[in-house]
Amino acid sequence: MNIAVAYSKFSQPLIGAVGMGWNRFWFQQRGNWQLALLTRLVGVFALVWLASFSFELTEMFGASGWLSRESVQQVLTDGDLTQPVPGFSHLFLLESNFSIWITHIVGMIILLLVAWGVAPRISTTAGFIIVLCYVHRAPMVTNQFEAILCMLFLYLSVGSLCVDFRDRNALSWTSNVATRLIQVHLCGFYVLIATSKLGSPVWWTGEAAWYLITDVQHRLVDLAVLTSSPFLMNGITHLWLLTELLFPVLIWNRHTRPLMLLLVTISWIWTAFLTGLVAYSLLMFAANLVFVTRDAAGDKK
Amino acid sequence: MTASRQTTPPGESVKTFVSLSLFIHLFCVAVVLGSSFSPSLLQQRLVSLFSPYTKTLHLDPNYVPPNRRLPATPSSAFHLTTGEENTRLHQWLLTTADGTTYRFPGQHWRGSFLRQRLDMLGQVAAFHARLDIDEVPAEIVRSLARNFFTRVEQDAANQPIYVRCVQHVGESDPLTFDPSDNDAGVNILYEADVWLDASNNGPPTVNVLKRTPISQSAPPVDVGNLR
Repeated sequence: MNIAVAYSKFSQPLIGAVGMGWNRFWFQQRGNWQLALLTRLVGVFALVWLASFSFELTEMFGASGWLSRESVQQVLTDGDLTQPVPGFSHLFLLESNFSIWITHIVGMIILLLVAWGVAPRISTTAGFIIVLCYVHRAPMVTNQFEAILCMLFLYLSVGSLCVDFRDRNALSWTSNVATRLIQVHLCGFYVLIATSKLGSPVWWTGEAAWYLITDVQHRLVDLAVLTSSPFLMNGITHLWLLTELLFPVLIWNRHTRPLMLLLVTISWIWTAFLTGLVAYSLLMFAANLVFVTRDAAGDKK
Repeated sequence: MTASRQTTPPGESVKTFVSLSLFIHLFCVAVVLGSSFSPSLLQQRLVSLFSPYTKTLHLDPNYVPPNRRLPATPSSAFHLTTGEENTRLHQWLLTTADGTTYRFPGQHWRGSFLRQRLDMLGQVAAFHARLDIDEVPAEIVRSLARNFFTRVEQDAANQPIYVRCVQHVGESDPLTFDPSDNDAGVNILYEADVWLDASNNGPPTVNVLKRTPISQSAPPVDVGNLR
């Protein structure tokens, strides 16, 4: 009995504190400026991404394109062509090049509206559906960029349904929920990035930077001069990995947040130059803006 | 300075519903992100269970069924490099009967989406070829060749073509390297002869016949004078 009383005395304040912390984290009032800015940025990224299909649109998605329905089905169903293709996409239904082009142009107009901030409640959700349709049409040629883009679009479209981001003076708990979801999910991606790297020996031995610098087919700039110093290569690799390992922890502390944002900004610039993954790096940089507070942005009203 | 307007705080029932939804959603996200690299049997089962939700919203970066997740698929290559060759550039080469070679990716900017997509298509074919699942690279080769045949003159379409998925492992230039040079610094991951068969009554079919490397063929044997 005494144990039960002692447990109760210990657990009740703990449960109460956790509950209060949960409510404070998710349900406090927050302004819209971060989500408004991020919606426009994501709209621009999605528009550029969709426009990039234009150069080879029918070569990819046409009836006799590189990514034929059969090849997509082969990859996604383990070779069992009797199974339906998982995921939905209007592009599977279109046969003629003309209809593919018409829907493509409509999709670009919708994403232009997202980037412009026009009718965000409708355009953001419609834009997310457009992006998903293209991703589901050929998921095997997607990479890290599409994973981050869909994550951001999901929370922005759900948030935009609940609150009008254009109203800069409004404070709402739904804006806070959308912002927190992006923050938490982004930290999840950083954990994934860091743990994926820990699975490769070159990130432990400090040689990863060397491998990326010497990958002449992917790098955007030639930094081979740096490879003369193995200590420098080791140091860059370790700092790079350490930044991504510490980000999900230290970004929540307001004292260490500016340092972490600075370090990840450098790491994403570095990633773009060494891997050619420019859009992915820029999108991650933009996503990190969700951690910039109003005070830090210089607006202390 | 304008005053900020606050919305009505959520009621207890709303908080409970939203909290439960958040917990379920974040649990799904944590499972799929945590299963991108070497998932356990439990993780595989959970990923399958959540897939109607996570795949629909593209919350899961992997496109393949969860039982194929070892090694990590190209789309979940967040590690950027493993120090092994499979993260280097993949390229498709289509060589016609007259010796002309078309390269995909060709003259595309290194940071462009199209170059990355073609690289990914090569990585997907190589990923399955390494697992001895030849149906996938064969089907991709068939799609590439079908597209090629529809874009060339009738005479050229009647000639067979030689399709290769190669990977650059050295310092070769994807635009200028000689595909016939064995020391060009590329590995051939999948190669096939492809031709258009219009002999039947229906529409012409695209046939793909995989080439087998010398190392996997029966060694030549001296049988002496047969006469």
